[in-house]
Amino acid sequence: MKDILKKRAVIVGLAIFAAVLILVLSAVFFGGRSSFLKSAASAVSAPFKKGVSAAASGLERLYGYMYKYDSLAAENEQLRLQIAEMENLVRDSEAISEENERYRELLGFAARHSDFTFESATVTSWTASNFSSAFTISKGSSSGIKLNDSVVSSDGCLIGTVTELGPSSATVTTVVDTTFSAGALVESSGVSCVAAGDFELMRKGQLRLSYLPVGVELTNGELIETSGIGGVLPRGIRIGKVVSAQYEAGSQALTAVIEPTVDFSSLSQVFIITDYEISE
Amino acid sequence: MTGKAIAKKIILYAVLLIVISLLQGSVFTYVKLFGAKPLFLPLFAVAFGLFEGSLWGGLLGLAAGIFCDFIVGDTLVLFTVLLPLLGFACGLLSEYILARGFPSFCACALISIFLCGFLQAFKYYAFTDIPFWPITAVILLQAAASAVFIIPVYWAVRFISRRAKA
Repeated sequence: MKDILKKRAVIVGLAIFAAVLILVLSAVFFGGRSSFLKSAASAVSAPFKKGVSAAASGLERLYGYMYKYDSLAAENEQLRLQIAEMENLVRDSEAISEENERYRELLGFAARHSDFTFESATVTSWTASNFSSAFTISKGSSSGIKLNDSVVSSDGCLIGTVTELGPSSATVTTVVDTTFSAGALVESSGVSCVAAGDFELMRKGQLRLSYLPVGVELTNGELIETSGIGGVLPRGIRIGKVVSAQYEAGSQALTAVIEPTVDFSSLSQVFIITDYEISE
Repeated sequence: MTGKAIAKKIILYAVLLIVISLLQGSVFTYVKLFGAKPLFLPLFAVAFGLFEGSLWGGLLGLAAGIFCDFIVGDTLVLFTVLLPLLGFACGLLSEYILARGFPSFCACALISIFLCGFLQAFKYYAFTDIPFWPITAVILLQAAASAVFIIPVYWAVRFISRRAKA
């Protein structure tokens, strides 16, 4: 038995020696190239390495997520604020752009009436009454506004007149209100007449043109402007255009319905003519 | 009623009046129902009187009237005088004759709507040559638009009245 064991030990020893010898010889003869054993070891260890690497990178990501969460949340909040600020800027710039457009329009009107002095104001509220047509503006006597001053839109169309005045606000009664009455001219022919508010037409946002001379013909779409007679309103401010004309029953008097060229429902900014030269 | 309960009631009704006045003076100056702007502040004076009695009806009606004149604009002091009277009268009726329920409120509200419209239009009837029917048509349209708010006003004031008493 002992002999057998001795023989086996010798054989194993010789085998180990041979293996070492082969490794040494392969290292000597194939230096720099991976040996078969090395490749085999590499092939066996590769999945383990991949697994460990994946686990490590997962842990790293988790750590990074936990570590960076606060900074990302803060950055997100900051970006939200930036977006809100930029949205506000866009809104402001849109409002400024619209305001600029209105001033550009007014510039054209002001060029035609160089004697007019303007004061701009915003519409703060409309009356809740169904029996009148009026609104409140954001400026009053402290801005140089006076009673009966004309109020126009940016394109120079008559909106109404100042009928009530406070230090920092004023009430403007529109041209369709029953209390409005002004001398008017047919723009194309220069025929003089009177434009006045009418109770029935007020609900439709229109006013009536009356006291037209006998024999005058009016066509739909003709423009009507203020005559300046009476000295309350300046001359040459557009009131509206004719939408219908008819003879009064039983007489030869012609009356017409005018529609203001201003859309009252979309008014936000108005211009008050605080001073002008009365033309003789 | 304790001082605390009175203070609670005043605060609740003040908040309600401010909210309603803001609605009346902003949204409902643009929004038209049946072609007319609704006028629902007088309904509150009626509801205050009906649910809170003559004294509170008069006082809260006065506040509603001041707001109403301020918002409507062309009525001078019409509502400042009219709404306390309406609140007081409805309060008095609810204390002695009327039951504090929806049918009573509905009847009082409709009367008050027409009365307000008629008094608003009175100067046109009396001092202008405007024909009768166009003015009456506006009164009817305003009444129809305002009547839409009878149920919401009833429930709002009843809710606050119960909260104030709780």
